[in-house]
Amino acid sequence: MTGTASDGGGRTRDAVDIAAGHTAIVAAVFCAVVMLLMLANGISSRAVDPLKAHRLSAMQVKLNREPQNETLRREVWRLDRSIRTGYFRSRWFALQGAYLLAAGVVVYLLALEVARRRQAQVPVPRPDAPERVWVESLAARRSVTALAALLGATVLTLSVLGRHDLSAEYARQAASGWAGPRTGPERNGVRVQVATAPAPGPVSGGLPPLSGSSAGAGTPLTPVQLPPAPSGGLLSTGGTALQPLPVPAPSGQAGARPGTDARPRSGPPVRLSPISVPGGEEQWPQFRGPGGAGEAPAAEPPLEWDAVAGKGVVWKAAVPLPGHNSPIVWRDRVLLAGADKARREIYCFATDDGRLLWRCPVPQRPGGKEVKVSADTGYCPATMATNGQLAFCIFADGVIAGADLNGRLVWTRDLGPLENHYGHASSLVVYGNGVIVQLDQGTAPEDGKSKLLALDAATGKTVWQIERPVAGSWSSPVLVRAGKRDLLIAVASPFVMAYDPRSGAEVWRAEVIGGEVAPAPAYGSGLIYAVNLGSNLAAIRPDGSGDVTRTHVVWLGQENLPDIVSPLHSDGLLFLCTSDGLVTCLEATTGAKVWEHALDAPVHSSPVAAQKRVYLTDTEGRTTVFEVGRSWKALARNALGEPVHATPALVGERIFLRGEKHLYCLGK
Amino acid sequence: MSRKVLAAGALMLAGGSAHGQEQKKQPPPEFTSGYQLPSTTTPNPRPDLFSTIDVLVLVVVMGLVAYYVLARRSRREVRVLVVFSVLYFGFYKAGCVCSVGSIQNVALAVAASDYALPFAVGAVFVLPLVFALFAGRVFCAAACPLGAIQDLVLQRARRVPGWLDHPLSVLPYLVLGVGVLLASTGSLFLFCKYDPFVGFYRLSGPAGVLAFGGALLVLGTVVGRPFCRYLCPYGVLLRWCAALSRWRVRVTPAECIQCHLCADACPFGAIHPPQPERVEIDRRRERAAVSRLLSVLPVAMALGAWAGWLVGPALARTHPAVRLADRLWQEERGVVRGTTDETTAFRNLGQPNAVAYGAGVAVRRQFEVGTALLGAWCALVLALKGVAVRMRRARKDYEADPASCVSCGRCYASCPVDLAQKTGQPVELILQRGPST
Repeated sequence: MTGTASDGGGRTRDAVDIAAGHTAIVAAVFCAVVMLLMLANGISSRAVDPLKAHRLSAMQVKLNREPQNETLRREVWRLDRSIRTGYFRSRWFALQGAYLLAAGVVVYLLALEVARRRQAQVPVPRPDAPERVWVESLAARRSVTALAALLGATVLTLSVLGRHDLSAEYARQAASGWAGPRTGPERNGVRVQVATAPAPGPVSGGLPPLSGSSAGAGTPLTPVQLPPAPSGGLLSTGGTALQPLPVPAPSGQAGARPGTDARPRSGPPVRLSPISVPGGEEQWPQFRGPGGAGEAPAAEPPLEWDAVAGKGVVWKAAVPLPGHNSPIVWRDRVLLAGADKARREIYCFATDDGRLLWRCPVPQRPGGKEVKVSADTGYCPATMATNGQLAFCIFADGVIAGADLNGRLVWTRDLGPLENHYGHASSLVVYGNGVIVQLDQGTAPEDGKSKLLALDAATGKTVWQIERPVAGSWSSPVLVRAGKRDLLIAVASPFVMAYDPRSGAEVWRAEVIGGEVAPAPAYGSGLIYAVNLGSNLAAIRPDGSGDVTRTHVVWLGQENLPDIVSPLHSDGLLFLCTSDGLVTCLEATTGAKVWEHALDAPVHSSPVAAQKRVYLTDTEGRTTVFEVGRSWKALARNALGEPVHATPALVGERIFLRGEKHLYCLGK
Repeated sequence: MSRKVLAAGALMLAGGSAHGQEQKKQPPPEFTSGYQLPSTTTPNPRPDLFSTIDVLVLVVVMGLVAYYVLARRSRREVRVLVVFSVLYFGFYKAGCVCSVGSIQNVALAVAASDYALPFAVGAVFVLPLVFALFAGRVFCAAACPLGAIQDLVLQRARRVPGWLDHPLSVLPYLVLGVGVLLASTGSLFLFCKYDPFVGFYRLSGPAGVLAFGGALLVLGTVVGRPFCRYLCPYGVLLRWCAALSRWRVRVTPAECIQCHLCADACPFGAIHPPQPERVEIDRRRERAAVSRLLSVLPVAMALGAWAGWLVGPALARTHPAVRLADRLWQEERGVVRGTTDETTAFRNLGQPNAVAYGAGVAVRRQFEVGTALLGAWCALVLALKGVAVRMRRARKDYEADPASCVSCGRCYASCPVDLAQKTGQPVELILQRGPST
């Protein structure tokens, strides 16, 4: 490297040096100006951030309240466009500025490099430099020690700040199983309170009477003598009147299920038994049989059949109209419903030979809008219920009907129009002299559209009605006797709720469920089980009151959860089945997985059990029968020959199974 | 723009099958105006073939640096490779995947059984270390885009005094420890989030990070590679490997004339002078001081572990599960008003708060263990640094410290003996005229 030399080329080199230096200065100034402009652009772009356009958001809220305000609508469009234009313009400006800045920096560095090289001086050897380096390293000892002290002080400060905070309290309390305080957060500026349900006890005054309801509104359900059935019909005119409210059945009687006691989270185990209408213990009077438990303790259904080959089929009857509702059975009658866009009908078949005894059309809502349903639900997905005198049916549009067992339409009610995007699918249950309807609607609990109603069985008039703080659901309620209390268990996001079926009074609730709930709850081993895909499988002790989320939820599961098929409890085991056909067996008291097995077809039908066997039918109509046991053991695989979505009914030595087009009676 | 459109199109095609199920439920609208959905990731994931090509390019660059620096003793080609790295690994690849960030991927892969380390990431992590084992820190010389950009802005390096250089050189170890802890717990990729130079390569980034990077570049005009020397966590690993390197930079090819020109020319303080003979060395006192330090090392590490354990909850808040649990708790207690997107989304799941609290507690416990180990690590590093500044190694000539030397080759041009060999001129004449730098 040579320095500037006073030879002929020196002036040229000087000119180059000067040019390089000036170029570097100009480039530096250019870069500074560009950076200032970009900074100004960055500051001004904050006013056009679409994500923080509060004024626009406020105008949009106002427009939602005044959808007819065209002036406001145009103003919103104008402001939105202006914000978006400004935002993208500032982004473009920033990008161009970045390119210019990069170019300026490159020019600056190159010019500086040229100038530096040409001005480089002759380096001077410094043989005495090593001593200075060593002296400096001695000073480094003190600075390293200072750094260690600084780091230690920083750590101590952070630890003090980090330990003393409110949030640490949850860490301590969470370890003791506490789930959170009772008050909820603010939502939309309103603090959500977790309500305290009234303690169970004597029924107090119910809701104020509803317009159009009978004088019985607000009073609990009591036994009512129904008008006698017309003579001449197939049904015996002996006309069984409804018994008074069933007393708690001692163990050993029909309908009582010994079950296994749960290992309690705290307190003694709760004995659970299904509630059924009098005489219904050996029938199949509602969805999933007596009490909705899915078990038929007294039935002895067949193990094998092949409907394609005609083996094991007692009879097969065509069902005039389609429907996914499951058959119910009362003595010599099998009832189900069918519907399409234009028609609603209830059918009654004879159990012994499958004759269509009668078909009862149910009138639609006059002048009503056509209900929108999904292909998975159809127009009548909800299963009927019967008290042995009348049969009750509800359709997807909210029309509910009561007919006697001779086919006479006794009453109809229109509970719609319903805000239910799949169509109403919750099955009916009968309690005492009433029929209970779980009418969950809307897309969020805040919609406030969900309710639970009890209708007088004889007249259809509302006996009681309560609002439910839940979103729409397609789950069906179950009735269970927990100790000495009768409970109606209903599930919808976000709560599993228990009610006194006599009055509709809320007994307890647990905030454990979410999403679009379709599976019905199950119970056994002293626990109530509620489940939904994407949420939880929750096991809840039923002996609480109020908000039991933090006190009575015994265990939660998140694996292999179903979204359609209801769980089944039998002999201390809980059976789940996903829509894909993955069957899981869990220990009912702890939720521990015992086994799982994948079927090779989807499943929409819920499992039912009898004789320590589970019957599970897939959508292709194949029924897999497996053992209620701690290992998978398939006992039979039976073909039907047509798709199945409904749940079979087990009565006596027969199985009543509804296919897409036919009703089958299977047995000997 | 066309590159982005092509990249977006390739991304959609490549992910089409994987996202088919999602599209069944919520397909994007079909635009008739020709509008194309923009890619939401920067940079776009590269197909496997391009990732493999990137790895090969990295290997080629490091190989070339090793050849030119160690065999040809030439810096000119290294400068060309520096510019190439800035353009290819920096602007073209947008700074990702880089070896510095790959530490976190490896840490996560080791800690989490459900994370699979991509081949390209593993390669960019391992290959520079392998090269360092044999040829020194050739990766730093020209292949690292972070080092390359600092190398380009370096003008007239000032020497950092020892009392400042030594404590600052501890920081990369601490950064490495913190980054590995946060990555292995799934909390945060610290090195990526606060990468000071990637914003320049992508022409956008958070204002604070850009300002930090700009400040480092401005500083880098007078201090050689401040990020590499005082912050880079990958440099810690390279130092360990390079210290064992088979081949390394030797400043003078023949007898050293002790002119100190190489040490002055090295902008990074990587050339150590010979042990001065005029300073008396009390080896017994030196050994006693080192022994004292080593004897308290276990106690220091225990204290460090305890201090680290104390700070666990504070550091745990970098994890989203802990932040969610904290926020849920605060909302439930009314300490804060309103809700956040995260707490709203959690509540929409319908799960009890106990689930979030349980997850937060589990992560906090992980952090208490992790920060205890971090504290012990920091204590170890500080203690060993204290030992290092007290020890003097016998050295006859000027030597490049293989652990610190970034193989840039600047020292070659300053060594009169090297130039004398190359040009055939006498050393005295070169000293008189001055070596080229």
